[in-house]
Amino acid sequence: MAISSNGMPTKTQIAAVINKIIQRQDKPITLGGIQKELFGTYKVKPEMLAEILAGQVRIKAVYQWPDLRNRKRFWIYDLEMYAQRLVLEILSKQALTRTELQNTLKRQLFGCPLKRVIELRKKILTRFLRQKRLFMHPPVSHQKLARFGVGLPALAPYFKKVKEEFNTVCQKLAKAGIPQNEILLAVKEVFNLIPSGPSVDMETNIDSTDTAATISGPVCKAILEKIVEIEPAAKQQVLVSIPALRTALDFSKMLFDRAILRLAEQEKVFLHRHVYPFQMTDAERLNLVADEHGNYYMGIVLRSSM
Amino acid sequence: MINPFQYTIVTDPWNLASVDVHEINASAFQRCCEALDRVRAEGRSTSVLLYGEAGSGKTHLLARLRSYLKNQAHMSVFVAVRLHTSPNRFWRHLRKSFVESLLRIAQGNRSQLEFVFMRRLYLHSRKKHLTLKQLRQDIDELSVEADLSWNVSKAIENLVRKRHRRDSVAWLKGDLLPSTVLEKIGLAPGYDEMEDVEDQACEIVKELCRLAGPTIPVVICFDQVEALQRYPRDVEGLFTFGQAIRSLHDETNNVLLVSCLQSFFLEQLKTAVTQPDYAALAINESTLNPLTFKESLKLVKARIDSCAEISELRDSLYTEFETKLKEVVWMKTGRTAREVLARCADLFEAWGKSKSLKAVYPEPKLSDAEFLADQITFREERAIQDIQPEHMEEVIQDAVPVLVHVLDENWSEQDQNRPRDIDIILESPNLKVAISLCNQQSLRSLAGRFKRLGNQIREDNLDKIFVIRHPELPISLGAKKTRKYLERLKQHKAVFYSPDIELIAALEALRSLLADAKAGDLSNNGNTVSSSTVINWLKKTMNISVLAFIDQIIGESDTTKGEDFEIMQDLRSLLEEERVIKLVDAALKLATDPDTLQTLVREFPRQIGLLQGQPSVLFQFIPESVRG
Repeated sequence: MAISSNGMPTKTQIAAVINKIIQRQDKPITLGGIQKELFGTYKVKPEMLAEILAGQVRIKAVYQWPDLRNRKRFWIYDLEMYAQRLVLEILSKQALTRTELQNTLKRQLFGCPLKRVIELRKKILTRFLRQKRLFMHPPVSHQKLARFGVGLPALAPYFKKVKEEFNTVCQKLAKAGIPQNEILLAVKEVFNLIPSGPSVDMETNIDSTDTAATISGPVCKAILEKIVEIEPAAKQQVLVSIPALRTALDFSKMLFDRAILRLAEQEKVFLHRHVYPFQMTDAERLNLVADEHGNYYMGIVLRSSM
Repeated sequence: MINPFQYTIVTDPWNLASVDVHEINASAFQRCCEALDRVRAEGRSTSVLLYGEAGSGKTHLLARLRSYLKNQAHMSVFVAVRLHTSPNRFWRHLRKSFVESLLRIAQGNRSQLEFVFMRRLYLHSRKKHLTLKQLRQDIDELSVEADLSWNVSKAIENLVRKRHRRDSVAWLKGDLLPSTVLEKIGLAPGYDEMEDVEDQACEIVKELCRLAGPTIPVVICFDQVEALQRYPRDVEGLFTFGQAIRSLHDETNNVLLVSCLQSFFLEQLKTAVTQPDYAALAINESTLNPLTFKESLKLVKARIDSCAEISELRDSLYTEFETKLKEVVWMKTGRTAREVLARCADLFEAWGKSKSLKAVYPEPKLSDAEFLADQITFREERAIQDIQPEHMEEVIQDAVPVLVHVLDENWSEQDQNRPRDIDIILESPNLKVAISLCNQQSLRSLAGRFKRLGNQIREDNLDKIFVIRHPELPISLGAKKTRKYLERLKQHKAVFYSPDIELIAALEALRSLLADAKAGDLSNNGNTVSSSTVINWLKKTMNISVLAFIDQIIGESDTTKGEDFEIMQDLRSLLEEERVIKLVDAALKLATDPDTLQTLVREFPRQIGLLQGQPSVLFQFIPESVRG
């Protein structure tokens, strides 16, 4: 490394060493902390250090974090970007309420003031919900507050009361000699769930069910047919890429994702996960299918029994 | 009591786990067997591409395939290749792995190579007993029939006749041998100085396939394909892999090529290789899918059955684990075998504690950082024991470009237009550094290489050349011509470097750790540790001697360290002759001062011995592991 004419390192060289020190930290570091790690001729006066760091912050080589006990702190990650990644990581493990998320964030943001954590939580949650990178999970039975997760909520818990009620009705009607399949037919009639005939209009069906998130047989059938169309060898268990399948079908994200998960639950397909989804760009990840456990699926394989 | 679920990774296809549930991945296995039957029946090479999630049992499936082949009445050859290599030495790596596999014991105490060779000889002569003269004649005829080169045929003859075994194996694996040794074992010298070592290795691999002949299929299994990607968006290694597979497919007629990768990597592979290459490597495809509930249950029961110590508790364990599997472990979209086993290991531990059983449990749970630190220590220790001088080249060529990029993303390896005597070219926006690995045992070859390098450094636009030679291969003080050319090289920005064994071991540990992480084969208590986790951890904790070495290569100044290594090199050479020498005498002979020499020797305690006193004495240090 070249040295300036008086034998002392130049400002650029000191800045490079400072950046290396900051890069090696696993949390934001104070000016004093940096000063301690500087050695030999790289040790500079605090004013000079502050000046160099201000320059590095200006060119975004490092980022300034909120002060801790009136001490300036610096890190390689920008606070907001780091918080965004943290939110996804936290919620990929478990869906949480706003307050639970906020408290977890507070604990993991290295002494960031509560006011700033609240601002970040609001901003990130709103943005991610809009981008469908996060999903709201309405409260289930005894819960009072909505939760937020990286995947769509599991639907079964929402039908717990309905199921209990349905079982009661079934028991009552069984006494009158009405079999369960008759009751199920009646339920379909009551809720208008019987398809209008073999010539179901796929698009209408999809649009009308999109928000209700009811995955009809024709949607799943269309997906299975498209898999074979894209990859004729799919019947021999060759993997089809989920992003390619999504592009070929042009369904809404929510409908497509639910249908894919439903097909797996029905044991009609195997799904293959992406091991490192958080190494992908947001746009790439959005093309995968996420479940409520934080898994991201990138490939689909027809089961041999198909 | 042993936890029956604790072993979750099969790392070597040569070792089939004690428990193998045939129903798991049965269709993928079937696809491999059918492809093998076609090779045999049609006399044509073919391929199978297998993919699944990390932990889905790819290596386990290869182990099952090997075990199946071993028990078949028809003979076949099994070759396992873990793709921990640089794209620029792909064929050399394949050659080495091929020969190592051929030397594995097939039955009794005979290697696959011996079986294959004997079988070919028998088919050729149909005689059960041969005189030495007849044997030589048959070998000659067989060499013509299989189109084998003189050296391959001679090296194999040596092995079968149990003569010059070590040197013949070394040559077959691609190690450079002095011409005197080549002559002694009957091989033609000069063969190793052909224009392109990669072409040479490629030809030897094909010759070995031809040696097996049309009646003995060769099953080459490529595992950890992901490790060919040195850094994100790097396609060179995958491209080379595609080309190599196509070449093997098109130019052989008895080979089954099995490639394994993670499903998420499939699209990257398709993008990196040409369409005809992909077609050649994926003639047959099969997925290794997440386990169904039924398969998981079978796996769990098989593991419980395999543990004799818990046979009395078997029925209660069945019931316990069937319920737990459904309630706690199972996921509707399925789980990989590794995940099922890891979760069950935890459940078994909890169950054992609840029953107050005195149990031997696996190591305590570690954080990723602790786990990685453990792994590095273990791998370094193993490498120090196993590593030989001839491994240095592949370790450096594979590890250095990857680690340089880990430490500074502006650096990458330049793969095109590499001059003949340069093994690695590293480029950043400001600098271009070349590395030449000079482990020639013959000082004549070494002098030739130094001479050519001297010309290249002037012609090519290089900022620096790093000349690296193994510490156990000193250049004797009498090798005047070699030293003269080296001296001339140094006047033109070249730095001579002789890394110590610890550094090579540290590099080997790092490259294997990164390759395992890329291939999804690094598992901490059932959770896959990603390559980005490893890279982030390495950035903070990389071995200080590796850091210093990389800094030497990509740093802008290096003269001081370069000189240090030069002095050390000369001192080692001096001690080869003298064994023990006074510090002051050594300093005088090396044209340095005693204080500098003493400081330097202290920096390398495992290379040179120092006894302080009146007078201080230097002696040749021989590590304990090397002593007879």
